[in-house]
Amino acid sequence: MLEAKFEEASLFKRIIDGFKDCVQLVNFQCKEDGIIAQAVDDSRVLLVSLEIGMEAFQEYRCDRPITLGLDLNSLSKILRCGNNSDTLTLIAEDTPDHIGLVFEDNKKGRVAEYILKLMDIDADFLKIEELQYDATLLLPSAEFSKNVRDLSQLGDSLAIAVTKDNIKFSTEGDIGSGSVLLQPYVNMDKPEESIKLEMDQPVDLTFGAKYLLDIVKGSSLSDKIGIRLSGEAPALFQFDLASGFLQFFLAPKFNEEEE
Amino acid sequence: MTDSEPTERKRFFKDELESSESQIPNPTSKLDNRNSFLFEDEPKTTDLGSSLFVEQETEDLNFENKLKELIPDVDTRTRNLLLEKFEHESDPVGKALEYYFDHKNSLIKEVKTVKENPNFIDLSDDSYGSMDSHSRSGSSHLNSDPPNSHEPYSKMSFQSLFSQNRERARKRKVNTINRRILKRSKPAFSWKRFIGSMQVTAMATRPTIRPLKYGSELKLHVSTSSKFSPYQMYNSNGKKQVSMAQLVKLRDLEQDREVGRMPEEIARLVYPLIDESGVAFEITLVYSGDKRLSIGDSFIVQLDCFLTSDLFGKNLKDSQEESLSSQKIQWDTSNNSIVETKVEILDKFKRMGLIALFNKLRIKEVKDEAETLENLNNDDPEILDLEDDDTFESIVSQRDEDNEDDDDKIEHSDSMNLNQLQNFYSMAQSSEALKNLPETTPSRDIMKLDLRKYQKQGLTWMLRREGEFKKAAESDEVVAAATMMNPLWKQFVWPKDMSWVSERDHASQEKDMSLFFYANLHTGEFSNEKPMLETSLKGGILSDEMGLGKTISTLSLILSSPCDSSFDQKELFTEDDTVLTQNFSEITQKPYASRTTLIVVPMSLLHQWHSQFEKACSNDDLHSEIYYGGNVSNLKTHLINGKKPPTVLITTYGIVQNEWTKILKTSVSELDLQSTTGLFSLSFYRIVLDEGHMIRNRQTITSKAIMQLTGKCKWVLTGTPIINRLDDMYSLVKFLNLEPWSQIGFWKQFISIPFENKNFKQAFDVVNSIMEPVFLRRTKHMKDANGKPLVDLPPKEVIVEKLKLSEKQDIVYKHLLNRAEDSVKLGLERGDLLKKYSTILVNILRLRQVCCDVSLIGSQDENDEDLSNNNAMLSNGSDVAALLKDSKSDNVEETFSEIELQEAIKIINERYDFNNDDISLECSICTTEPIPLDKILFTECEHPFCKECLLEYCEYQKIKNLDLKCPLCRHEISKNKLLTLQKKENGEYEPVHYNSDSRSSKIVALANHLQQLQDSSPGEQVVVFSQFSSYLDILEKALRDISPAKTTKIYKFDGRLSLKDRNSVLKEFQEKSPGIQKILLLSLKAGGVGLNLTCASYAFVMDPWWSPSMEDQAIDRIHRIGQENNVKVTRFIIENSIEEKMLRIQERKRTIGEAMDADEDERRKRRIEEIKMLFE
Repeated sequence: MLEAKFEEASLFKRIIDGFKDCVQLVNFQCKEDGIIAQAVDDSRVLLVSLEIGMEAFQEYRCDRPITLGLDLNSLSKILRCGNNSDTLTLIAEDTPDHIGLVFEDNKKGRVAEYILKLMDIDADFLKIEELQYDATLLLPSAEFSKNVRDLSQLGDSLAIAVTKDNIKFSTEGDIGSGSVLLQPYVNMDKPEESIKLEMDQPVDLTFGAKYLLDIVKGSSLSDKIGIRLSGEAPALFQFDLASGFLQFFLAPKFNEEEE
Repeated sequence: MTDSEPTERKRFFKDELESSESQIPNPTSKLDNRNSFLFEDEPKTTDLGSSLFVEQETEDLNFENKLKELIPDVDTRTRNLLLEKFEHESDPVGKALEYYFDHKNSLIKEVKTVKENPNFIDLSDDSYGSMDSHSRSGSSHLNSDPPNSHEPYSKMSFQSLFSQNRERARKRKVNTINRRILKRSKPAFSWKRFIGSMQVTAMATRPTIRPLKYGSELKLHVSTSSKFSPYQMYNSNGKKQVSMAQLVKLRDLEQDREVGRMPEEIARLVYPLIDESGVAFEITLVYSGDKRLSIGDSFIVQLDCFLTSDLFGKNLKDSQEESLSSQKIQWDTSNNSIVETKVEILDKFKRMGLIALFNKLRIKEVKDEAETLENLNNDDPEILDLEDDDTFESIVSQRDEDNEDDDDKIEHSDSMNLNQLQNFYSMAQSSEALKNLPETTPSRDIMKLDLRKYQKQGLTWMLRREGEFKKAAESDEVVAAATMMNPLWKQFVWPKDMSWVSERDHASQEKDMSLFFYANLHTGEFSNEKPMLETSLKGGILSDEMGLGKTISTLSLILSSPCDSSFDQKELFTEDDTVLTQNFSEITQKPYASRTTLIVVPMSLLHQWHSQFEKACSNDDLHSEIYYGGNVSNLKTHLINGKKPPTVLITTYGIVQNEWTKILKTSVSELDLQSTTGLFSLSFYRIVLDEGHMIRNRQTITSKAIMQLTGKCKWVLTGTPIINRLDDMYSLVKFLNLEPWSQIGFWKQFISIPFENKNFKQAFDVVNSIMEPVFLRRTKHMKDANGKPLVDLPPKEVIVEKLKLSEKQDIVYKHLLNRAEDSVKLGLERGDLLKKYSTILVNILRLRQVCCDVSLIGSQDENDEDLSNNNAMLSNGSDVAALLKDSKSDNVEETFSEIELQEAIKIINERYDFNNDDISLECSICTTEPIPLDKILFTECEHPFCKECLLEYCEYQKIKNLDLKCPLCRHEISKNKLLTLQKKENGEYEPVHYNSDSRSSKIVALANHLQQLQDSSPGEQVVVFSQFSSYLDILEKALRDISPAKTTKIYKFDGRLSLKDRNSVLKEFQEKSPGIQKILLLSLKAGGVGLNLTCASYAFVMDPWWSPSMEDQAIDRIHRIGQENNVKVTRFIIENSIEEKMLRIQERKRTIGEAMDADEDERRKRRIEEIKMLFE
């Protein structure tokens, strides 16, 4: 028996919108203390990991762990039916073949109920280990997404280079090249606008712009994005929720020439 | 992911996936405890406590769940106990189990003892926290993951960034935990009693798998939401903003999941009460159609309501104190409107919820205890079935027979509060009771003056209000009042227990319980015992109409009870009063001047009080002192340690305010008051505010200062307790500390808000009922028990004399009027009328001034504040002068030359012998014969006419554009060449040039009146009122010119006079001297209040004032006790001018009352209306 109530339907909507473009079929694992989900995109370059802790819900209750196989396209169709300010309750039985979504309006007492059939998705669950990263960045998600969007117009790959005191996004394409240089910056009044940089050794990694554009879609979840980079492992991009997170693990591109 | 990751391959996860297949995590294990915050791995030393707390909590739950699984029959309490015992152990569950089975019996006993100790069961946050702190060191957890705190990281730099977020999350957690704790510790009260139940049709909001069983227990649950805190539930108008049905959910207890929601109506009722421990609800499913429910299906539940012991044991005083202090802060910071703190609002919701619940359940107030007891056995309360209309109506109608009052309570749940209120204060004296008040006559030894009958009754009332029953005349009523139930409380009868549980078990567990309970629905206090009335307030408002002798009444009170009899000369003040007001606690701190009454008066009355006291007091031991500026170096030592402290200390509002400002400047803390030496350093036996409406605006410094004065008995004397708005009254209530109304929340809820919502009647009714016990008002028209009027004042005659503007005035007036109208029209068109408000006010002021005298314009005047600020308007003066010149030059050729005048006078003198009594002249227009000599006009051709006839004729001709010819001989005449008669000093008449333009019509009229008066009764004293002090100057000059100095004396009294001069002027004026007409020119503002001018019986009001009550006040200077003659008041009003319109506005104010101007907006609107009225 699962009953998970979001105070605002928009939260769930934003979460789903954050990664529905890179993966389609996702298994949501509902546990006693929250919901987790994991999926890898078709090209197997990008891994999405979602965790919604029970504190992110207004009410949460899950008697026994269940797995909900959902088609994100269908799910987002239903999510679009609810108003942002409605409460949204996810309901599923213990051995579900469908999930119920109930939208309740705050003022008028409108109740909308949708049933979504579940899918049997054959996917595996990964254990993601704690990795040692060379550099850790924290910057406003708006800043990051602007850089990615701007630069991706020029080329289809984007390099992130971190040195001791600056971060450089750069690209090179047929029509030209561009780069954006950021420096750590502390804003005491608006901490969310600060840029933080920690590094053990400089890194310079190149990523596919297409994937970054997908990642950037999670920006609506948090005003900050955390990025961890390592020469040896996939980079981690993380958006924090009130409780939980949405993580993207993206493998860097490797220069053909160097090979 | 390992370091040996193949670096060339793009497909990063492939291997990983393959290898991880085998290690799919056990789904039952908890979520990876790696915190949701990516960068939060830094040391947690800063918030170790709370994070551990949270963790511990989940552990506890875990522990609990395990226990529940293993030993299903164990109850919550036992579990808690076990948890407490073993949470430090490495294997708590195992140990607990072992212990449980070993010590099962003793454990149950232990739990029972715990049960009896409610304090323990009431798992408050704190106790939980402390419990937690014990366990903090214990590092063994069920949790397989190591706690975060053991992972030291040094990434401090991110801490600040994330801390905010974390804070929020922590709060959330703590909140949910609190809720959980609440859930677990549900039965925190020792008993609960049924008060009623209803059947409610609920709507399913969740599909259920199995049909709900008949009789299954449900519970109410509030979905808390950060979006809607209770005080946001309503917008400022008290309207609901959110649907509460959305928030109040029904949960199935067995499965602990939401099943449905209550209808909005019930949700609104119970919402404020759900978290309240004083009220308990039990819900049982009655009908669900025996099928599984899907969303939208309805099912019927029975909602049983109980009151619990918590409600009865609650000590409200603490919370009240709290709200008082928080209110105090508000008091200082609040700018304009009456504000409530959040706590107050929350409390209010709970109270309102209770009242609404009582209504719904039809718990009715017991009015006659005996009767109710009789009926009790027959009375069969039913479960209210809201669906069944027939029964509903039949219940209602049945109740109607019982008690008609209940009817409207059921119908309008909102208005009921107000109705209740009126009943609450029904103990207050009705006017009948007032009439029958016994008389207390102060003995000759203490009071020299004789009191009138009503004053003696008033004295009785006042003495009673101070609790000096011995000194007051005896009557049975006093005893009765002492044993009265507190009128704020209501008596209720416990209904028969019809709840589901009791019906099922047929158990009646309440044999030993009392039949009644008592509730104060205003504070939310409940009690099983009958609350007795404690008169917390000593003092009141004496609001006799002007002239009924409030001063004398007060003096008689002071003389009858000059010092606090209950206060013996002990060092410590040990009054057994249980008043818990703030001021009282201050009394205990401040030295107590038990033998002194402080009287605060407006400055003009300072000496009057002093002399009145000397006049009235016949006891040499008692004396009065004036505290006026630093004439006493240390008031404290003077009043407390002094050998003969003054019985009465008279001071002014100004001084109180002054001292307070000084204190505010030097020391901030209130405790420092003791170190000061002035009025605030001690508390008085009695404080009397004369003209108490001075403090009506609670924002003024004076008002704030007065509030800080402390005393045991407090009196307010005022003839007009409400001047502008109902809230004026609040200041008085606040000063008197009239609980609970002195709490701003009460006032706002019951008076200001209904008032703003235009429920004038209700608001006024409440005010009346509040005021009744502390308010004594007699009017001159009141009759005593024998039907005689209280006061036999000679009749008062007010005549409005309509005058025409003189020509000169007319020209200026029209000019100004045009200009004013233009600006008003412009303002109305543009919609910024109020922006130009001051300009318009100046324009209006000018018009009013012209009505008085043209020369007023441009002169500086104390009322003329606008003028100095508005330099543009100053040019008016020169404007007007130019205008006047123009109009004069038109006419100049037509007037008499000096020789012509002499000629004409000579001819007239020759022709008529005015000093011959037989002379009779006939007016050829109206054929009056003889024409009164003072109303005669001669033309150039020496023909006599009535003044009015001829002037009318002239005007008529002028309008028709005809030549002006003598009606008798058709000789051409001119309006400027007329002659009239003037009485000479020797009584003879002589013809003079009639010049209508020379003086303003009001002055002419006044002069005429004075002349006539002097003729008919020489030596009268006359009072002339005007609001313009510069007009008084003009009048003074004009009257001096006109009237012979021998028989006329003119005095002037306005704000510019010093205190000393005031006294001498008044003294001189009051002395009667035969044959000499004394004229007192009195400024309305300076002399409008307090003065006693009964020596005069004629008054002239030169110009109308906006508020009629101001004028009444002024007139009452003359028409008051002591007046022996008929009073004649003449008000001069210029016809067809702004003054006439002002009269109309006055009339309007008199009917609707200025008090209606509830808020600022309303007042402005009204102002606009008034302006429109003026210019239509």
